[in-house]
Amino acid sequence: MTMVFETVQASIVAILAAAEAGRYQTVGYQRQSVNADTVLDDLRQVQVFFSRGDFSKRAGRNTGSVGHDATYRIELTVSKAAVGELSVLDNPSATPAQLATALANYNEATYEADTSLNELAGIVYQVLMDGLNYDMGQSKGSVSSRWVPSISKDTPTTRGALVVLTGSLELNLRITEAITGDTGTESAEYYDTTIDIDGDDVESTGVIVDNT
Amino acid sequence: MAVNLREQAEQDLAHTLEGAFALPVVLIDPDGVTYDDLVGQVLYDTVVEDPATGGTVVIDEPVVTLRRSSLTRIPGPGENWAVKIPITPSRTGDLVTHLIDPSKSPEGGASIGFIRLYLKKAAQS
Repeated sequence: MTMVFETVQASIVAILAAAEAGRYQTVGYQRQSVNADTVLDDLRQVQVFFSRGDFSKRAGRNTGSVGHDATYRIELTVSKAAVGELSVLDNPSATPAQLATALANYNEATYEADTSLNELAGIVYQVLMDGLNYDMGQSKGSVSSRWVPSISKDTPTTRGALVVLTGSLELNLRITEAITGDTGTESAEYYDTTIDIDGDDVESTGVIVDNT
Repeated sequence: MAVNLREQAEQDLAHTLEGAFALPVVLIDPDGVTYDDLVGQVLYDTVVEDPATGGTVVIDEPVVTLRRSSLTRIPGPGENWAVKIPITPSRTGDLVTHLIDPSKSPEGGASIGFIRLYLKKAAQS
């Protein structure tokens, strides 16, 4: 049975993908490594994956629903070249003074990467903390305590002729998981002890016996 | 008198760097002076070890090796130089502009007489 944290991860991916607008690309899993050319400029990458879950133990909670403090990591990867007046450097009729000025004013790739990552972190933060996304695409009340406690940035690294810079955001959500058990057989009978009132997806009281 | 072996090695650069395998290289120094009569060894890929996996990977990082005695001015650490190399290994093809990687000093070879330049891609603002 799919747990809620998996469903929420898919929702986070969908929300970030919907907000891309050509500014970045969203990946819904953790890649081991990435080619610098594939994250160049506006191809910068946002990876979303479940990182950690904490279940606080409470008496009488061996079955039914449990609170789940889920932590997701949003990893950001950008790649940049040095940026400047390339048209001047490529102009055979440019004067030495013009060439010298163009060279002196070229922005280093590390500066460009740093600026790009700052911008990307800001975009992703605003998308995740948008009031419209409080429930992360889930039904109202099923996600609470949404918070981005940290943004971090790593050291720029040289990848061939480009500079790559990575960073990450942490996203904490409180969700509720149902303990349904797993016998290894899809058709096995199990008891869903979730308290449920028909038509009320907030209070949830009652008992359902599911024999399907 | 016997030829000094280092002098002989430097003279051999005329063949190893500037001989049949050589490609045209254009340098623009920080003062905007263009040197367009140079040839040297141009390698388009570099083999490095991936620190994450320990495996060997081939990366797209052009490296240009030039004979020091052919240069009017030697690129120094921290200087902004443009380097134009052929897009493909052809003596007559179009050139593409790179910059010397500011994070790496032009590498040694002074005891024999060459200099190695690591290049970064340059984009239009």
